[in-house]
Amino acid sequence: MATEAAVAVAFNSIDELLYGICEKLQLGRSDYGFAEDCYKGIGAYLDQHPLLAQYRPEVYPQGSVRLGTTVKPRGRQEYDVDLVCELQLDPSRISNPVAVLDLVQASLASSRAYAPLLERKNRCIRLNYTGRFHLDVLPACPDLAAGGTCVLVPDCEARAWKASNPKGYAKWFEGRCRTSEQAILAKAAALPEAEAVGEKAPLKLVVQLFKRARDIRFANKADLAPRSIILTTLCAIHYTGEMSVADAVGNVLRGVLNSIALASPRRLVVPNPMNNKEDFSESWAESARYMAFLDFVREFGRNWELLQLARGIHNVRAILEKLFGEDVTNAAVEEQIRTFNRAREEQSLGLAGAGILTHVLKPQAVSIPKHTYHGR
Amino acid sequence: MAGRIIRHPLTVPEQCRDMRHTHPEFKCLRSHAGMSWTGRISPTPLSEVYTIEIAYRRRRPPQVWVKEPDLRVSKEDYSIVHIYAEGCLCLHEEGEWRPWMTLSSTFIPWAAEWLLYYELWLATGQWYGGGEYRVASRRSA
Repeated sequence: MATEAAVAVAFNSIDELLYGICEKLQLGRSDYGFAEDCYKGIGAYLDQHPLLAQYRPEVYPQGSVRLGTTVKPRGRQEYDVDLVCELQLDPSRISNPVAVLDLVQASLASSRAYAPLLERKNRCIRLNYTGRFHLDVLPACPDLAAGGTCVLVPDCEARAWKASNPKGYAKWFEGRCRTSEQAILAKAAALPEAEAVGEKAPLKLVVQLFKRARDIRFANKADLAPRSIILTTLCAIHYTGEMSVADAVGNVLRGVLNSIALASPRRLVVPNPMNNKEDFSESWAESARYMAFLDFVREFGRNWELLQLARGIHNVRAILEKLFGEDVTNAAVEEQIRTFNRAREEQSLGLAGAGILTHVLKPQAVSIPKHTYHGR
Repeated sequence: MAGRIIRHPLTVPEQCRDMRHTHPEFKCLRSHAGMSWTGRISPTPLSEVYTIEIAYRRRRPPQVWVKEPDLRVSKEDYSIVHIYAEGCLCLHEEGEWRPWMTLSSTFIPWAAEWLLYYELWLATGQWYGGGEYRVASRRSA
């Protein structure tokens, strides 16, 4: 028998199951196409609008859709699609920042198509496409003092400008996606969610898994859940180029737990890596939220260690289900079963290594004759 | 020798030679009733490692037993997962195994497949391996 590691037809690694889970989590092709049409439509509409045209609005995606890290919401929630509407205005000459939000809202409200969908939020105008997603339009102005791609966004509650840098963040994140084996090139302003899971940078899958684990863990206490931007940033900081998603998740968990220990007794601070005036984790000033995050990461870490040690597909599946939910775990397992049964039907199965079921193309494999499980 | 089908019934020494060649890590035991081989297999890298025993007596179909770890199947579920009342695996229908076939190219991979379906059954409650469920007319041995 050959001693080299055999590649199994299915259930070859935890990574295969994680790919299957991520496939089920991301925005589907049809929703993605619809979201893209909506975003381009809004961009074209605002660009031509008499109230805004003079400020040369530029509409571009931000957040998970831009980064390729969307996660199917559980229950009845819709996907979030976040857009920035950047207006060429000088914030220092606007006494009331909320007026900019009013201006974008008024522009959208004058459209018969958009008016019934509108909902005013603290920092954005939301368009509710019920049952599919909501599209948040975040008005912004260039932060001339900070320069570069930094922007200021109006905050209604604070009645003030808040610093941000969505373009810079996306560029930073794409840079962090580089693996040890290849440099993944940054995509242009297109929505990268169209990428198939197999083509995605492992970091993007890691982020999807963290967000899904968060959604499962905080299903009944959503108000305490850590924000997606915090999880995304922590994953990107602690990712060190692993090609294996399972290895990457483990290393990110270790990195986050280390940085929590280093920050103690103070809380961890997660600033925007491209604009340190923006503290993504400001809500952790409330200790219940920070404690909930610590519990989440510690339990995730314990379960991840158990997953590495688990043997038996039933045991692996049970841990994945606990972490990421029954629906996506079942779908990933069933995909592997279909792959295996297809090879069996085609009689292309063989045996190699220590009894590993593989494809017969492997030179050391023995092809398996057809047989029927017999019953009594 | 791997996968070779010799068109005459293989003698016990021929099966022994084939097993030594293809599965040298399997432990061979000779008794007055015939031969048995015990070894460890794991159908996928995510699966448990199982110790199986193949018992072979000339002119009788071989039997496969899972020795370790203990199977988590109650007697009521034996027919669903294709286990004979004695506890050995029902891996083939009559005629699918012929005495000229080597054990290494049949019973060992069939057992590996069974172990995969067994784990999937534990995971999902469903038997994905198909098979015939009619009442068998013979006992396993």
